[in-house]
Amino acid sequence: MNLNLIEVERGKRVAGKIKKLTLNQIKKLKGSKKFQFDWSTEEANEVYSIKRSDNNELLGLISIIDVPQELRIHINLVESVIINQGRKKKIDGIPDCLIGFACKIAFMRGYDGFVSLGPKTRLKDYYHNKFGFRHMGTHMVVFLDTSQSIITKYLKDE
Amino acid sequence: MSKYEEIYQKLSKHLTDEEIADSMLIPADLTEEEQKQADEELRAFRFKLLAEMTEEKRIYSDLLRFRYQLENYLENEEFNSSREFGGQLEEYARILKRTKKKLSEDLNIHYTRLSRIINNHEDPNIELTYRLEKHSGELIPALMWWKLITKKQEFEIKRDKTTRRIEAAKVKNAVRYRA
Repeated sequence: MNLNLIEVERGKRVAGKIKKLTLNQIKKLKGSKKFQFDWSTEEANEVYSIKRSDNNELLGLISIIDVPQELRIHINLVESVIINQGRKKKIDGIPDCLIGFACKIAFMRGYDGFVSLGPKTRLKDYYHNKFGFRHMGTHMVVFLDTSQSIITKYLKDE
Repeated sequence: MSKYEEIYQKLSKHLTDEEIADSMLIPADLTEEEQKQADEELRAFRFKLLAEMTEEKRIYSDLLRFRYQLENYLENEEFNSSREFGGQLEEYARILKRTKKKLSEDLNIHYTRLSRIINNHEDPNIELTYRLEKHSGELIPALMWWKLITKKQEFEIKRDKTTRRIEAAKVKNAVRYRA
């Protein structure tokens, strides 16, 4: 899996890896100054970290909920570490790769790549314009071709 | 003010909405009733989508499931004899609802040879992996098929002391570099 992470200053791709956190690792995120959210409250969900491969630097987190009875993966939270938020970010593409990873899980588990999320209303257009998420009431969804296109764009083949 | 709204308000003082969304997913703050309704709407949509899914889309989805499971196995798991090339090829044929005969015709290889490969009695060659890539509509790259073969070879090289001993006995004038 080749993540589409770009070092902004040099405009070059950096290698990254995504790993599932253990319950203990999630609990240890309480009070972390690296994030705006309190990630320790996500312990009931699956939380994955994205790190640089070269120096193991933590870049971001995603929390997903598996809804097997609906063959669906729900993205509950995503966040880049604070130093990679906003105009001065050093690495570009962190949430994009994590969303791509959720799409991949949704195919791997036989859910047709079906991924849902429920962002604040004011931020919904961003997910539609950038990734192709469809409005579905309060939620937004992607599946099949759109989900695959997100994977292809952000988790490139070797 | 809810915790998510509080974070949004704080960030929106120095970031645009796009910059916020580019950094994190801030969930909507819904009441319990709103959340319940939203979940019901989504559930109904999902079931409708499943009911209306065409056979073509079902196969497409299953091929991608197969591809990403394969990728995960190759990248993150130890060699597993139940996931050798032959078994995976059989699974590929099952997804596409192809008999061995039909698949051998599609790939232009002899039926007997395909059977031997599926039963792991014969090793596939690189050419077959290219044909499989083309046959899958390029959803499953040749390299992925090839890595299934090399994963097994790597496992065998690490453990095959017998062949190593037999072959070593055939070597003359070996360079000596023992520390």
